[in-house]
Formats: sequence, structure tokens, C-alpha cells
Amino acid sequence: MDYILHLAITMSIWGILTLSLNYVAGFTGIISLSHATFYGIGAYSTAILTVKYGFSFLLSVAIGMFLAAVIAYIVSIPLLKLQEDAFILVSFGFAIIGYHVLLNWQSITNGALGIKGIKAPVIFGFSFSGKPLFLCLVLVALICTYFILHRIVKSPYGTIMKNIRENSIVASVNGHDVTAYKRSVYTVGALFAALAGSLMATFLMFIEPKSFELMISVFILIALILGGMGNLKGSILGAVFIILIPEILRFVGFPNTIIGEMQQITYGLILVLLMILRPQGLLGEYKI
Amino acid sequence: MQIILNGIIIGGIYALIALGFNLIYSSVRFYHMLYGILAVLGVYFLRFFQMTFHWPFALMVFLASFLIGLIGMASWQWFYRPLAITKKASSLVMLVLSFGALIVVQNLIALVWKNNTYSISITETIKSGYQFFGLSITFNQLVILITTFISVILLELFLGRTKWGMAIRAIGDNPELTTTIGLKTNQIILIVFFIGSFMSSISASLIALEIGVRPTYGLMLVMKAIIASIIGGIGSIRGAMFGGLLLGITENMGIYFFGAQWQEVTAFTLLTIFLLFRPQGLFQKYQLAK
Repeated sequence: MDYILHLAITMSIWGILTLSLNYVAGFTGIISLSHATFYGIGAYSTAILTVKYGFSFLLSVAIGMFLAAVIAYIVSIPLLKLQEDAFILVSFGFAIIGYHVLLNWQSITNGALGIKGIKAPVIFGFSFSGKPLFLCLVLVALICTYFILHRIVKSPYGTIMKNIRENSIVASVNGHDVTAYKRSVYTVGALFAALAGSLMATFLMFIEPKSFELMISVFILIALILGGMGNLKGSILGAVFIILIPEILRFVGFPNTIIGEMQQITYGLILVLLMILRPQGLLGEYKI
Repeated sequence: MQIILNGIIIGGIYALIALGFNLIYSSVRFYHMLYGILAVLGVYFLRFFQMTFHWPFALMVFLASFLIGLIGMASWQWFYRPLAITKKASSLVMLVLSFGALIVVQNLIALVWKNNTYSISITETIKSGYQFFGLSITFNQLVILITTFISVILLELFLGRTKWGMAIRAIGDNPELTTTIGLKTNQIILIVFFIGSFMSSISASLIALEIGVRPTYGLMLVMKAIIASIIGGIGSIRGAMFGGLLLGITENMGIYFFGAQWQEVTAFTLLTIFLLFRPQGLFQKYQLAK
């Protein structure tokens, strides 16, 4: 039971992450490999503020989200000048910078040792310790994220986003400031990634830079493409699959020493097969 | 001065990697991410040869690189071509496809040869360094410098003076037009993949001499190639060379002033500066930014 709850919480947090990337990549066509960085910013903000300075959980989440949004906006200025495939690689470069900052800025992030002893979230005096209660909190966050993003996507603003995805030249001819739209979308995506990071930090009670390394960005993208770009339900499906795959491999009976490699090989193969057979993913509405 | 010399040595390797990458990019117009891990695979082959046979070092490097060249050709013929030509997939799809393949190969290498850093050496004993004008240089570094220099000159001669070289440049300029004048596009692309992969393996072997390799370096190598290419202006041979040198020198300056842990950050900061102020690179060829 404990195991299933653990899986459900991880899946929900990954659901938020994948949804936020879907908002950026699936609906606007900005395929970004820098999501792990914003995820990390959220996690580290919560960890540092609650452990070192005794901030309350909600305040630390708000600050983390704000910080991620500001950084995303600043970063998007040089990044969004690029065309889409160059953009992927350079956003990946940004993820490399983010990872190295987390690893090497030791006075703040405690370096490779990570931060221990993050307390369970307390909201208005009510403590969400224990897995069942935490699952409720995460599910509320997931549902909120889903509905907020759903509202945005169905709004006129969302229509323009899809317009930019399909043909940015037409969008700009119609008088929309494409770059401004892309920047705002990228910023909002980072906001929700930071939320997922804060939840993950309080769930694991311990964070280290390794949890936010480059491959995490790639895994989020794989979850997104597998579930289908441009479909919010697909993202949740993709997150469920991406968490289930290593567990399935473990059940099949691979020894623990090679499980990491086998997991990555499976992810890589999924990516290759999807590109060859079904580039839009399981439920996707948008083919990259 | 010593920093700049070290920068030039590392930069020379980057230039070599970027040259091969650029050559492939300009003829197929997508980012061949598999490139980096094939280069690393070359080093593992070389190490395998070194442990099994006791042939001259240069011969083994050549043999390993030749094998990698063949694998590179195979990757185009049976892996990329069905999608890129037959299905007309976009460059984005090709990038993601190639990235997936990179992850698979990287972890296969890690499974077979374990996740350790391996370095190779030319001779059993460590040779003493040399001194020129107050600069010290090790034997390995001298080999790296000379190999880089010879490779660049050979490639330049090949591209500039031979019929095949001209055909390759023609494809880089305009693939459709090249077909209409009766050149066999696929054959030329295969040769490009061979040369590119061959050079990547040689440069990865040089890196293994200097700092050693591990499976995860595949991604790092191809990222370095991409940074150098974008700085130099992607698709341009001269740009790749200068971009690689500039990247190497900047990285070494970064290591000197800020410490080795900020090496990657320096590289990407340089890239960001270029993207902000000169997105087309030093020698413009294709438009990357709007």
C-alpha cells in the first residue's frame, strides 16, 4: 500500500511537470529541454527557505515559483531568438548551466551533499505529514494545474498559442507579437515546473543536484511526447507511463545494478520508436 | 600564455569535432546527435584493440576510426534515411530520433564497459614534456596539436581540390540543384557521414589522451561541437575551426579565473553572448535565428 501511494504521489508530481511542459511545447511549439532547471529552482527554493530560514511552506512555494518565472523570463530573451531545433539544444545548454550552479554554488545549495531534513508541508496550521494526506495535497495541486492550464488553452490566448505553433509567420501577420507570447508562455510553464519541484522537495525530504540533472529534462520530454503533445490528458498518461516503466523493469527481474541503464535504454527506444511510428504520441494532437 | 596554449590545444580538438559535425549538418540539415556517442565508441574500440593486440598506436587509431566511419555510414543508410528521405520527416523529428538513439547507445556502452572514466596512452611510460619559449607542453599535447593540424589541412585540401570535395560542398549549398546536375546525392552523403564519423573518432581519441572518456561524454562532445558550430556560423567549415578554437581558449580562461567546476558554464555563457549579439555566428552561412 505504501508502495502504491509512493508511486501515485510521484506520478502526480510528474503529471504537473509534464502538463507544464505540454503547455510550453505541445501548445506553443517551444520544445524546451530546460524544464528540470525550473523544477530544481522550485525544489531548492522550498528546501532552502524552509530549512535554513524557517519560512512557511506556502510562502516558500510562492517565492520559488516567482523566482523560476523571473529566471525563465530573463533566459527566454536570448533563447527564443532561435529556430526550433537550435532552440532545443541551446535550452539544453541552459539546463547544463542550471545543474552546475546547483552543484557548485555551495554556500547556498550545499553542493553535491544536498539539503536534508525538509519538513512536511504545513498549510494554515494543518500538517500534511504521512503519505495519504500528502497524496491529497499533490492531487489538489495537479487538478488545479490541469484546470488552470485547461482554461488558458481554451481561451482566446490559447488559440493564439496554437496559431503560433502551427505557423508563427501567420500569427505575426495577424498582428500578434509572437515573441512576447512565447516569452509569457515559457514563463508560465516554468512557474508550474517550480510548483512540482517544491512538492517533490517536501515529499522526498531530501534533495540533491542529481535529482535535477540533464536527463530529467529529457525524461519529461519523453513523457510528453509519449502521452501526446497538445493534449492535457495525454500528459498525465505519459507521466504515469514514465514512472511505471522502471517499476515494470524491476518486476521483470533485472538486477538493481543495471536497472538505471536498462531504464534509460527503454526510454531511448521509446523515443526512437515514437519518432518512426507515431510522432504524435498516444493521444497527441500535434505532430512535431 | 600557458593558458592560451592549453586553450589552443583543447580548442583544436573541439575544432576537429565541430568540423565533422558541420560537414554532416550542412549536407543533411539536421542535428546528428548520435555523432558524439559514436566518437566515444571509437575510443572504446581503440582501447579494446590496445588491450588485445599490440600494433602501432597510429594504426589502431586509424582502424577504430575506420570502423566508426562505417557505423556512421550505416546509421545514415538504415537509420536516418528511411525517415529523412522516404518519409520526409522534419529536422525536429530527426533531432529527437537521433537523441533517442544517443541515449540507447550511451547506455549500451555503459552496460558493456561500465561507467568509468578510461584514458588511453600512446606508450607504456610517461614521456617528459618539452619547453618552448617558457611554455611547457607534454608529449601527448604535441601529438594532439600535430594531428589536429594535419587533419584540418587534409580536410581542407580534400574539400577544396578534389571532385568529391566539390560535390560535398555543392550538396551543402543546394541539395536539389546537386541532384539535377546528375550527382548521386546518397553516395555523397554516405561519404560525408564516413568522413565526419572518422574525424569524430580521431578527435575523441585525442580527448581520451588528454582527459579520458566515459559514456556520458558523448553528449558533452556533441554539445561542444554544436556550440563551436553556432559560434562559428553553422555549416561553415572555417567557422567551425575558429569557433572551436575560440571555445577552447575561452573555456581555459574560465578554468583559470573561476575554477574547473565552471567550465561548462563558461562555454554556454559564451554561446549565450553570441546568440544575443551575433546569432549568425562569425562566418554566416545559414540563418539560425530570426
